[in-house]
Amino acid sequence: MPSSEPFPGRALGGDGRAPNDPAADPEMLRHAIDRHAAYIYRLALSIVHDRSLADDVVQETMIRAWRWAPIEPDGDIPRAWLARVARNAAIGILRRRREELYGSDAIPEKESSLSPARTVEGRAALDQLRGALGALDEADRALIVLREIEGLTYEEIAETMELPLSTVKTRLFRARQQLKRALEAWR
Amino acid sequence: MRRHPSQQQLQAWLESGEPTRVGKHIDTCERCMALLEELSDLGDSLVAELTDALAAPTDVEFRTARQVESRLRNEAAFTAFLDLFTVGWSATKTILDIEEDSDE
Repeated sequence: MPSSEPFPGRALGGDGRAPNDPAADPEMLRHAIDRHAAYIYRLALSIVHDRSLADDVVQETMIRAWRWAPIEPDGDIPRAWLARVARNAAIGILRRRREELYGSDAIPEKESSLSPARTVEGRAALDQLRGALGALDEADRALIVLREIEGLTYEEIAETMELPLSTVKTRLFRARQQLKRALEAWR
Repeated sequence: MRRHPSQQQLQAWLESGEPTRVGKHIDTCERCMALLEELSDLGDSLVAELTDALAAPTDVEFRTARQVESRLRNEAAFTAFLDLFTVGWSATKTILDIEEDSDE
């Protein structure tokens, strides 16, 4: 931690939390960051495709979690809740970025499919994979990360993405297939 | 679609989302859903590559803590400023005996 001083409690507890709410405890924030920052970062990076923006998403998510997260009996924050907040934060940050760049009239409905030729230089395996991921839309990338890397259950993903369970499965399976095809095209 | 689609039909559906009757069948068929899960499996090596491609920096916790702390301190300072302003205004009202309700 960068400082041994406690986090400023005033900025937390004043946002609708009861004074004795465990989530308003500064230690809870430290614990949440230690436990979940990397997880949120990976999900954010898969959506925003920019490490600096991914940092912003992690910060935003952690602050929201400190203020409003439901707390499980073991004192932790539900991962599905965190993922939903992170995804919404990432989409919001992307939207603001697009508005800054193009104005509000030119916001695309979803992440456009990126041309591999333009997004990847060199043939390093990781770059190829990032390029293949970029060919998927934002929701499909999030589905793959939540399931394949973070190991969330289909039910948790359905809660995170606010989608029916069967839709989660069929969409995830098609996204995985698209990823494999995109990767084949790269390699 | 009463009968289960063939593996080729399921594979074709994975690729294109067509035909829609296969999609409708899958929605209610656990057996076909399980087969699709198997057919679309990424494999351990690709998942490992994916994990590497999206790896978080090793200091992500430290940087996040520092940035969040700074942001919350700024917010706290702003709130304290507003509190001072509110207290100052209340004191001024008391000293000058300003009544907010002037209907009387």
